[in-house]
Amino acid sequence: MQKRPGGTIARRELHVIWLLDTSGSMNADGKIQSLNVAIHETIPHLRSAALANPNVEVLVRAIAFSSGARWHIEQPTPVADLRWNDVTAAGHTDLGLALKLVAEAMKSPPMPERAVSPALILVTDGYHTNETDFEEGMTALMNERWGRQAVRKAIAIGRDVDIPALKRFQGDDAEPLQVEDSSRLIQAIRWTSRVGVDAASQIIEGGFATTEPVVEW
Amino acid sequence: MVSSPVTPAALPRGAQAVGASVRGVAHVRDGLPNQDAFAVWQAEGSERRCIVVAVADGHGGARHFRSANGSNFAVNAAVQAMRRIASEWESGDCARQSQIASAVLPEAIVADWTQKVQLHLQSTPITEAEWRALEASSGPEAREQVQAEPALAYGATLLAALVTSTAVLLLQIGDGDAILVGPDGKAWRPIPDDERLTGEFTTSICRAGAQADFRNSIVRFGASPVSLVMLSTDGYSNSFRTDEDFLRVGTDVLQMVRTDGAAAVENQMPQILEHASSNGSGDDITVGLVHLGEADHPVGTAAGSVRPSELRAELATLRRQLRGFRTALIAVGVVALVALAWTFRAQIAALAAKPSGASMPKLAPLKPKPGEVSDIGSESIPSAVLSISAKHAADAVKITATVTLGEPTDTQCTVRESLSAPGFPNLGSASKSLDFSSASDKRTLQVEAATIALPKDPKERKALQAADAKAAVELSCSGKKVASATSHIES
Repeated sequence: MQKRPGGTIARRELHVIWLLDTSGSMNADGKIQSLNVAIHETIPHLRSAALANPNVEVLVRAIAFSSGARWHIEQPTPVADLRWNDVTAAGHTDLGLALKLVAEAMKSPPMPERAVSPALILVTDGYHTNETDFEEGMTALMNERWGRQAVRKAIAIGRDVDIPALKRFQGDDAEPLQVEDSSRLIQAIRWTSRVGVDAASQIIEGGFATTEPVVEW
Repeated sequence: MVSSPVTPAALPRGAQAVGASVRGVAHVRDGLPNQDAFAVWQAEGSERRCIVVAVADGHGGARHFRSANGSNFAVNAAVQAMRRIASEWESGDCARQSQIASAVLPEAIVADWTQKVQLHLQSTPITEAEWRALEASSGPEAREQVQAEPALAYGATLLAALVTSTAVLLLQIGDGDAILVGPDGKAWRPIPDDERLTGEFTTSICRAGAQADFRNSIVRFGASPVSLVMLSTDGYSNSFRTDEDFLRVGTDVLQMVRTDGAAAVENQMPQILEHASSNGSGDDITVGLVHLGEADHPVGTAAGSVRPSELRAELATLRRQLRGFRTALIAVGVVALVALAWTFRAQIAALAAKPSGASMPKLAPLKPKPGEVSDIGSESIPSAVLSISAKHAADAVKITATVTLGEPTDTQCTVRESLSAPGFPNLGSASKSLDFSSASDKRTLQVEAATIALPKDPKERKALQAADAKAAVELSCSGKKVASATSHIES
């Protein structure tokens, strides 16, 4: 057999993490149901995006935050094996604690040294409960290389949302996606989740271009 | 006291550059060409004083739709600039060397690359089809962006190494990896990291002020002995699970060169890189290697660093050459005798007995010149830019080329168009003379299309379809190779 130089050859990992607001306000107007439906409908699209990029291994996790923050899917799960158990809504909006949790996950290890920039997708319908936690969470996230390099997208459900905070999360001046109804939420989650996956196949854009595909809303 | 000028020492015998480039499986899947490029220059003969090697990675984004040309221009610009400054660099003091590395070379490379791009745009303007494809994939703003800054279409990264007997100078803009391996097999990255580089973004030679984005490293062999220099595009390192896994490539390749020789490693490299692309990044992968021998540096004289195995190889080559020379002499003698006999018997004029075809065969060079050496130019021969397109036409491939010289010339030039594929080294070729005095600008000529028939045997035809066929065009002026370019075949 021919000798192959070097250690283990592997596809690069692409980590997609959903940060989902499951505070009590998400019970109003069927938002939490819409969120669950949106995730269910997004999974097949993520699978097809992953199939279109066979040299990237797409791994998905989810954090639910309300009064505190916890892993809803803790293990990075290959998108082919992904099954969604619905989240329920109650309590406050501890976004800062969710950011701290994701910041821990962005450390290397456990993140691999060589990976495609992760995709962090935040979905919320309101204002975070604790400003100090939010600041500390953002700082912790930005202190990690993978946190800084992540494709960070935010989706605001309704109009009563802390847009400046979401812009800080995204790290740019782009407006977060604002959705008013469940069909738009499905589109938004599907699109933002695909952005990161598609970015893996758009190898380089000369240092200034965006990874955002052209989409019609 | 007047110091005598320093004569740079030759590299150790056996010092050699090799390389390989493969099209990524994702590029095959998406119908994209190999957007990487590789070029090397090494003087022939035993007094080789330096080796220059460069690899480049054309950007994959839609705006960079001519990046395969851009990467080719980048490696050629780097090889030309480094080759020209090699003597000055080696004999310069530390301050001058540092200045050359940080300013002179980046400026020269970027200026030359920009000129090559401009020449290419003049000879091959962006077509409406290219604009339409860009708009379809990235919207009208992308078209406006490239219209305002056409060099974007050619964006590429670049890694280049100038290796002399005392040091290696490494230059880099954008991503990719430059690895050095010591005699003990320890591999390391000498070029400092660039924080701006992330998984999806890179600095690029196509950006305004690109010369400021070059990073460099000068490694002196006296302090850090080096046995192997390896440059690779990021498709290779992105194929490994960890950085440690990738650095082991350097260690292992040095061992393979020691065991099997550089030529054997060069032969194996395409399969190795294809495996990495298939099971790893999916991207194009290009690797350039310079093996510096073993006793290495800085020994003061070239002879001091010859290993017994290298000496044996050198002697074997000389013996082969002597055998060839002896055969040629015998052939000349035999034909001359026949001619003389014929002359006496027939009593006809001596001219009729001229021993045509009996000239001494040209001896093979000591070492084969690896990889593509393109667009070398020289002081007397202008640099040139070639563009090539190749398309299937019924049972043949039609190759067209455009030649644009850097400056007008009356020099006699010829262009050779050829078709080849792995396992099909020469499917056909055609040569044409070029008369630049007939061109309106005395430097741009469209070469008449060459049509090369494909094999008639269905089995051969099928095998050829599975292989990665390439069309090549090579420009020679006054008997010297000036430029070359390759292209995949469009259906």
